[in-house]
Amino acid sequence: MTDPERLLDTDGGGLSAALLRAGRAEGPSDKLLADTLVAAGIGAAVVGAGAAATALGAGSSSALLKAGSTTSLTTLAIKWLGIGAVGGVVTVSAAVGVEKSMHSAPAPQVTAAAPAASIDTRSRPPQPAPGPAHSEPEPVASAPITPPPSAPAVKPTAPSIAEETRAIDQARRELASGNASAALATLDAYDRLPGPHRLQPEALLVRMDALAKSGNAAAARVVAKSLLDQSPNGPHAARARQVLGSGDQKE
Amino acid sequence: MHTGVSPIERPQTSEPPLPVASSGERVRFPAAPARLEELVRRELTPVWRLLRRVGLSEAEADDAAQQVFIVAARRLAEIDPARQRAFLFSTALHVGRRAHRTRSRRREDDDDALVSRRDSVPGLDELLDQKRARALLDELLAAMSEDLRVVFVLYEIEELTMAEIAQVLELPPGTVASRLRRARAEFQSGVARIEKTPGEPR
Repeated sequence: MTDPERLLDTDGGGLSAALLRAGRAEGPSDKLLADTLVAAGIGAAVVGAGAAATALGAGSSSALLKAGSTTSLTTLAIKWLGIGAVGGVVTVSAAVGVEKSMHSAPAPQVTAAAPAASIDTRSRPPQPAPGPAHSEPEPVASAPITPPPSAPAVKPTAPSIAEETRAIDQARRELASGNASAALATLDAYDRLPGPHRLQPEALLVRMDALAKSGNAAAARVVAKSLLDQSPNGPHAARARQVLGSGDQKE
Repeated sequence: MHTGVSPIERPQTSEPPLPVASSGERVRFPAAPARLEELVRRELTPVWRLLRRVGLSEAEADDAAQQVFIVAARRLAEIDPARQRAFLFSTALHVGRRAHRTRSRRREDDDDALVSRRDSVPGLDELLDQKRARALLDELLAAMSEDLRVVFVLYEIEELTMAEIAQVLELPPGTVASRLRRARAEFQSGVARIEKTPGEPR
């Protein structure tokens, strides 16, 4: 396939080129880069929030809880959401409606994935609660699957139901005994287990309660919103609504 | 790449399937944080710009771009490094489409945010010119059907090759070439109309 010359090259000084040049010149704010790095779970260096940032990089909620800085609340929720993104912790339960008819030719496939929690880069002040998770799971293009010849093949080890149950029960016990930090650490470990998590809603529920009990109401609300987004009529919806309604809800 | 399964027919609660090698084992690619960071740093701007050109406001594009990279972060081990750009753009188009559908009532005026954008470095006149030019560009793009617009933007603004576009859209190369031809014709005819219009364009 021979590519034709681009309009910008053939119409250097014309209106076409001016319009295209303007399109190419546009870019996002620098803040979006930092926020996206954080949202993707790799923002410790960008955030640079001392102990909180270190904890973020180390993937320990409990360390963040101990850090106690003014930014730890927001960072905690963001960090958790970032880990959720990387670890694939949130199971989607909503339909992804992508119009098949966008093209006359076959449209790209989509599959469901975790709900994303992006960070509003302009309207949200830095200190208050992090923004709500998105109300729908994002549609996702199928990952290109052609492996390079040298790519190592590793068998993923998805946790068994028993393993998941053990982890969540442990977190529940820790929470019941008043040790919210330990419960969160246990949930972090659970989130890092590879493969799909079948008990993710239960894990979210415990996390929400642990965050609420540890005084991180804003982060608890983010989790509650995520729970509701995934399953507005699910068994944990009432509890999530309770948490959402208990604070200064910001929508 | 096609499995013949419509997105809507797929199980809604399961994780997307991992790639499977010929040996039957699932293929995973390096998912080091450094790879992800490099991906974000290199591709955030093109992804964001694509989202803008397919009709999202700046705020919507901000949110959508983050979603794209959150997805990429989750699935990094599944993404072939040689095709990660195609993955990002393809995901961006899906996210953008969904944002269109679920567009909220809030219609914010982007003027107040303009000064914080990278292209605000030039003087005010130039900035306004760029803004006006972009408004015209978006107007012309909006007049195209989506299938033409996407190909046009990927080729003329994001400078993907036609082969790359075929990969992103999972289309035969001939279809991409045909859409590009039609999109260019529509674009240039729109530009000609503007040029013929007396006085300053809107």
